[in-house]
Amino acid sequence: MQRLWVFVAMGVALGTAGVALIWDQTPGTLPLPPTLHIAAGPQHYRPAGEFRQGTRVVDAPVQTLAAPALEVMKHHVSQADYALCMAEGACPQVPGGDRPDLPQTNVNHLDATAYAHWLSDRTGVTWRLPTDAEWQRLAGDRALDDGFSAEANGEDPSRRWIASYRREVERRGEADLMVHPSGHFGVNDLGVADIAGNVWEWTDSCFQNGTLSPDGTQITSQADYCGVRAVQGKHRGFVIDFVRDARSGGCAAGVPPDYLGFRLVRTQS
Amino acid sequence: MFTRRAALMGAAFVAAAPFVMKAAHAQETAANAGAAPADLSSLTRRKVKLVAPPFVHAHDQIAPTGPEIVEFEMKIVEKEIQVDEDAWLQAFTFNGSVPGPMMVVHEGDYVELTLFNPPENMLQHNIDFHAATGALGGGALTLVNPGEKTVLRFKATRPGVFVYHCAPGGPMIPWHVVSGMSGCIMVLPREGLKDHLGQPVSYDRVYYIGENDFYIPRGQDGSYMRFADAGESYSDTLAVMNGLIPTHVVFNGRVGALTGDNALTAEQGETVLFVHSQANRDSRPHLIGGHGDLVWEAGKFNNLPDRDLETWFIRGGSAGAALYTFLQPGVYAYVNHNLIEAVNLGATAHVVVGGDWNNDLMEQVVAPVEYDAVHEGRTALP
Repeated sequence: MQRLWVFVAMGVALGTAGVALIWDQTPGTLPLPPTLHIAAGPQHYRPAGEFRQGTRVVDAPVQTLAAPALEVMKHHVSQADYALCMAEGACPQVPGGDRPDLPQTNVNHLDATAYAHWLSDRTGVTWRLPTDAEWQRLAGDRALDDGFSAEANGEDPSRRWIASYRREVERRGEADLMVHPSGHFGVNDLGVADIAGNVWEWTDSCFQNGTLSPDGTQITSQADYCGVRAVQGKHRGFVIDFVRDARSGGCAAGVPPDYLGFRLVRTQS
Repeated sequence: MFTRRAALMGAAFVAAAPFVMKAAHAQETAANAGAAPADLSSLTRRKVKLVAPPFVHAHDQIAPTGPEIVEFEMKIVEKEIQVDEDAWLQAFTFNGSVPGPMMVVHEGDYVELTLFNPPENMLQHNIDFHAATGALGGGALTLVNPGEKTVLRFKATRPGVFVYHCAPGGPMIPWHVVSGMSGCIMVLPREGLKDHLGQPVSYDRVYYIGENDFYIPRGQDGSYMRFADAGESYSDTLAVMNGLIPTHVVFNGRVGALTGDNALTAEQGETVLFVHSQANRDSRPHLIGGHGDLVWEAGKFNNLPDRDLETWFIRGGSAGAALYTFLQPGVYAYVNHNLIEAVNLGATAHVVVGGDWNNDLMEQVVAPVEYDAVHEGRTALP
């Protein structure tokens, strides 16, 4: 994952493009996609990013967050959904078909955000990408804790690299390079479909660099780096915001996601 | 996709086969006729069972006896292999693996290979050993039709690591090689390896990294074409091959074959010999985070090894050897340092090394932290 940093400056430079969009469809006329209700928190959550005590990389402490209720799309945004947005000139052109039963993949963070703006306008309801914390809630029984054993939080940095490598290999298994119809991976305990299948989902959470207090229980400083966003699936990954296919990322460390897609949430008013 | 051209080429193979066969027999007669018989009756014989790469059969680094006849058997297997999650190849293999197995003997030994071409195969095959002298490396004496076997003996006169590959004539040669038919033989000096000062060196493990370039055609929809058999794949594959731009450059026959669960392993303090072969195309191995302590770049042990290399060059059609003692634990990447080939086309292996971190060799002094861009960092400019 460290290797992604070289692209970060480019990500910032490109980050301002692709927003000035004009559409002439009547706002608020599109039917709402099927959603599920996620009850209000509290939530135990380990922040996304790299946290240190001194120079030692350690697990971020688990925090308790007050979390409001959410409505989440039951399915990934489909090819047909995204094609409509492209056809209206509101979403960047990306490869893919127009099937309503297949998830739209090959999308970057900017594409997903553009879609959320368009859908908000066309449905009259505000949609957005979930935060990493919200994704963990909607993932229900398929959410994974990123914490490591004590040994991988110790002084020897090689232990953490090896533990992280082994865990990603184990969680991800073999790559699955076929886009499967919606529902292929079943639903979680909350009824949300295809969580942690072979489509990793964009979240709105920026990569964070943080430091912890000497006892490791408090975050003493944290800085967002928004050229890189958390993506969620079989494991949590960090992907540069303009990347649409993160697959060829497995050079030195880290196991890449098979596909990048997304689903949206709205906060209940 | 079965094209008319593929059908015609299929017919051409059949038509050409009797001629090639005849030519091979003629060469065989010529190579053996009138020559004095070699008397090897005083030599002992030893059978070795080959193992699939990246592993290498058990062997002595220092020869315990005088020269002997080392017997190997290899079966040629034509089969479809998966080279990536979305790409398949109608492969030709020595002993079922891509690359073929690595053989180890000592200088002065006689290599005696029995090569089987099983009746279920479609094509003629042979073997050209770069380590052997004469008869096109043995290729002229070993052309076997499906259902035939042959036995070749050659004397290993030059110590080093050498490529072997199939070379059944004309356009079949590159096609067979890029369909997976290459491997490696290591001829060790009888007294083992020596460093740049002539002092003995040894290894705790040896890994054989066979690199292959594949040329897999894409269909009209952009996805890789999958073929019912090798003949059907020929004309489309040839068109990609002649463009000289591979679709895949991989270690051990497949993208990810030496990563994840199949990552290589070592322990801190262990010395590993990496033998790297490429039968068709240049490569440039690099161990990210490590070095080549002693590198026989051209792979021949009568030459002094280079020291402390960052990256070494493997000429297409050769094998090289690099000896490295792991000093630091962690996850290493062994790559072809054309990084497009490493990251996007597949030429990456991982080595997971256990041990205890050495802060003297490396330590993070300041973890990434925000700095005051107005006042700090100005001294970094010239």
